[in-house]
Amino acid sequence: MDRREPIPRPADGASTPTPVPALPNRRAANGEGRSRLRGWLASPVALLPLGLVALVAAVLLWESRLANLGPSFWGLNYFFDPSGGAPSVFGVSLFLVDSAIVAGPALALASGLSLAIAISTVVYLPPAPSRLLTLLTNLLAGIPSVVYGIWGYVVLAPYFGTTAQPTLRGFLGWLPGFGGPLSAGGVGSLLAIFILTIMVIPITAAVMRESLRNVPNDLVEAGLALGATPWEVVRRVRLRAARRGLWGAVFLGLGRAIGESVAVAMVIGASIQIPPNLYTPSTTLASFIFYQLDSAFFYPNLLTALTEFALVLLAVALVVNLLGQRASGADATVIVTGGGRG
Amino acid sequence: MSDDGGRDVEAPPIISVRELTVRARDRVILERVTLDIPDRDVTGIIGPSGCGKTTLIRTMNRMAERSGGLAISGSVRYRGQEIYAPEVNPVLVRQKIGMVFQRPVVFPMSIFDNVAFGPRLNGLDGDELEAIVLRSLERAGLLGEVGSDLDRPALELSGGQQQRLCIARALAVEPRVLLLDEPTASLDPIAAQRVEALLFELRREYAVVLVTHNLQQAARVATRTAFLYQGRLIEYDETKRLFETPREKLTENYVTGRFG
Amino acid sequence: MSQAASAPPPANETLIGGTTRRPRKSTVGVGLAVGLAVVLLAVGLGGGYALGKSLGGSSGGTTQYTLTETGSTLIYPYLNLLGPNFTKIYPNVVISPAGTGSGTGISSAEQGLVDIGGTDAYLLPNVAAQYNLINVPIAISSQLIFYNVPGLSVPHLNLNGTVLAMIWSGVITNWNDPLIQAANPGVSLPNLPIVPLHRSDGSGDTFMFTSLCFLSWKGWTGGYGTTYSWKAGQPGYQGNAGMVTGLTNTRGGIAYIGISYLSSALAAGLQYAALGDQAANVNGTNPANYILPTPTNISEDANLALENLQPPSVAISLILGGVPGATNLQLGAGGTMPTAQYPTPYPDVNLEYTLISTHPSNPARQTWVVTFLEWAISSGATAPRLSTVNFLPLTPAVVGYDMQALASVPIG
Ligand SMILES: Nc1ncnc2c1ncn2[C@@H]1O[C@H](COP(=O)(O)OP(=O)(O)OP(=O)(O)O)[C@@H](O)[C@H]1O
Ligand SMILES: [Mg+2]
Repeated sequence: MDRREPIPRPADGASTPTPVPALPNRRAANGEGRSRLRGWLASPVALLPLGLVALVAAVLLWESRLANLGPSFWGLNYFFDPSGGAPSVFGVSLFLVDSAIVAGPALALASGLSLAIAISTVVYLPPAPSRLLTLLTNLLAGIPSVVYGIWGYVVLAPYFGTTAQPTLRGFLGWLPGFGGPLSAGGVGSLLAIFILTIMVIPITAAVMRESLRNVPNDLVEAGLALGATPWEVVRRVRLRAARRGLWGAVFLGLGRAIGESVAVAMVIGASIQIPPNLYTPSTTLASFIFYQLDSAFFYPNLLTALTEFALVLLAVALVVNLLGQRASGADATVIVTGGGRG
Repeated sequence: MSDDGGRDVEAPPIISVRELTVRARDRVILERVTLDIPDRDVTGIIGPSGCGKTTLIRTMNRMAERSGGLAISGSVRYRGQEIYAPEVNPVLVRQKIGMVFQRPVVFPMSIFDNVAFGPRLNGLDGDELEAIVLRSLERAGLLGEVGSDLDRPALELSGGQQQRLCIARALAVEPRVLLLDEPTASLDPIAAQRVEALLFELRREYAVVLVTHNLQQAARVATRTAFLYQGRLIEYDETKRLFETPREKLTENYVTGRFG
Repeated sequence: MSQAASAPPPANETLIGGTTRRPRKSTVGVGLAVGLAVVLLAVGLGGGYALGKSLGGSSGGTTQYTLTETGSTLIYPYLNLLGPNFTKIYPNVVISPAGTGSGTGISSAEQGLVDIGGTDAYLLPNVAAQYNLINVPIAISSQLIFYNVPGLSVPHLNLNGTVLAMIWSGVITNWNDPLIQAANPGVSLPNLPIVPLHRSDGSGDTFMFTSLCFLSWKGWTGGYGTTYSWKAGQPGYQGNAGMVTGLTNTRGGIAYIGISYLSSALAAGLQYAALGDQAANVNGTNPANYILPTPTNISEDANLALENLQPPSVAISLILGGVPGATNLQLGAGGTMPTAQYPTPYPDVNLEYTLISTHPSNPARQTWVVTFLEWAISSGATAPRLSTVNFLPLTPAVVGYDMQALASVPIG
């Protein structure tokens, strides 16, 4: 029976630089990714959504024939004379800017709140309240857009007009975007941001929750074993390890924020302008397409313009969604299949 | 349990476990375990799978309470201080008593950031931080191998290097005790040997508790070894005596069966 | 014991198990989802087919018909009221209306997707001919100008097309503006900013209102239509219901709202204006007479506009109807208007139209479409039914025109 004697004792201090063969970790991971991709392409189920998107794009292209695709199409001006008295200008960038002005803050708010919700459910809350919070956030996802919209202009708009807007301006009026005129009836960008925030939260919270939950327990325990407090483990281990999933959540939320039409159309005040501040009415690309659709049946050139807008919206939504799927990796599949753990 | 005359009998134990009982919902995982861990030495813990080795060392730095549904009773003292006293902050316990797991668990960040993780929590930065990172890597015998490029992702290291990185990371917190749960189980023999040699070195400055399935490893590295069976401490003695002239039949069966 | 000790490390087992379990789980999920989708699709198609058969096919002696309508949300409640009463007389015919929007009504009629398209704005006669459609008015409607100005001493402010056009153009911005004061002598007007509201969705009401502005003030730019490029910053609302709610929330607000929403707007405490009959002189800022939207005034407007139109047409805007010069603006078929002045009618009036095909693919079915519309503009248009939605009966001239047009539709 051997004892301590036969151990090769390394020299004190710097050990001998014996080359250690690198583990084929990365290559293995890549190979797995490639085969998964191949599996996806081979699967007819995967081709179905691809085909649908291509079909939608093709129909939109055909319908619009890109009739307005001049330099002014990418501009910031919109003017349409339905009776044909003056030439029309369809600048899509105006609506893209508006979409960003509304979706950006909504996404920032939703991401922050979702992160708080996800951290509480995964790390801090005991199982029962945690499950309740998850249930409640998921419930928000089940409310139809139009209900948010009606709630927005019937209940929230008066409150925003008389209280929320003046209060916010009172405190933050010195900040650019927070001062200036209010929207008398309460509808406007701020209300749209508020409604969108609530609508985005269930998506971002669910993806964030799953990615935090999927952080290996090993990593968490390793952090704790190094003398980190639970909060330090959240900040320095969980958030770091789940970073991709968290960014994925943000992109999926952005897709929702940019694409939402009905609820936004009902509360944003539908004014075709870049809003001079957060309170005034504006319009997002998606909501504009939605509420102009009926008129477009009267005016063929408006219809082609809207179809081109829809193409732009489709492109933006696709890019955002792909970025989200890419960033969140497996977590996105959880959402798509509607499953997830527990 | 006999606590007969070892070499270090006059030095006070760094951890003393008394009448430790751990219960899961419907069963007893550890039953009235009593043992002392000497300072500046390697203590081995052996026993068949499921006998409670992991649970035992996880009670020593209050990691056990993270696995839900365990009832822990009895006493664990670190240098005379009851670590389960209500006023004790488990975070501080874990800073004194570090832990390394079976599979190397590196954070998805650079080598430097991995080792700096603990010291940063304690507010170290700048030159001080760099010094402690380098010192810890050196102690773990890794500095020569990884060279100057400490900004490489730690996940690019080999398995054995990762495990030594975990040891370096634990050392950077400057603990007094290092608990290791089968640290070489997932490594190839050469990498395992390096870790083993490292542990043997560390014995000079730290109390090392080594859980292992590898009886030869215990025989090579541990001064004293405890044999656990079905949650009970069967025998705890100098390693040589435990292996060569076990007092209990169970111990003999286990040690010989292993070599058999 | 040695067996247990030499067993592979359990951690590796878990790893393998985990990787294989996950995709399998999602495969099951996708499978379930696809399965569910297929089942739903099958049920939907099958159900629809079965429904279609039962509706279109003959069962027993009489053939059953379900006549579909889609379009104007103003017409929808009226047809909903007429339909069951028609079925009482003709049990084999069911009217199935849908309130989707006038643009959708026109588009669906053009594509032959429905038997009847409903619209607040007529289809231009040349376009109608192109799609083999005819405009068949079924009622007279009108539009009210509501405002939210608390504390006024009069129940109705006097406003006129020129002032309204200036308000929505941002030229008049305060309720105490001299032009408003001039139209309301003796009324103490508050120093309160005006917030003009508009419809964000495509709407016949927008068509009427922008027409009124366009016809009333030379400074009006941007034309007229179911949509309009409103001055930046003015709030828009979805539907007449949205306008009522929005105006209720907006102190100093002013909005154009279809007369169907009269009672809900009044219930919300809103007031409506008497409108000036000017436009004999476009840009006249203070006409002699201000007229309330009473049934008499509204009917009279329609009468004056239509009785004297040569050649007769119903594809005409009744805005400022009966006032010389209106047709010069080419809103309608381009008939000539008499030059006499009519001092009394309410100026913001329109016809509610249905569109039907003159080349039906199924003449037997079209028989019932024609029968229904003939009934709807004659014995079906009872006073209680019309007043439920604040519509007014067609004038005799229009009924005559309709009957003639319906008689020309080939039926079998
Ligand atoms: N949180 C827990 N709840 C219930 N049972 C547990 C829990 N943790 C551990 N056990 C059980 O306690 C027993 C001892 O587990 P432990 O992990 O300590 O064994 P071990 O000696 O480390 O085994 P191995 O050599 O396989 O690592 C096992 O049967 C295990 O299933
Ligand atoms: Mg173990």
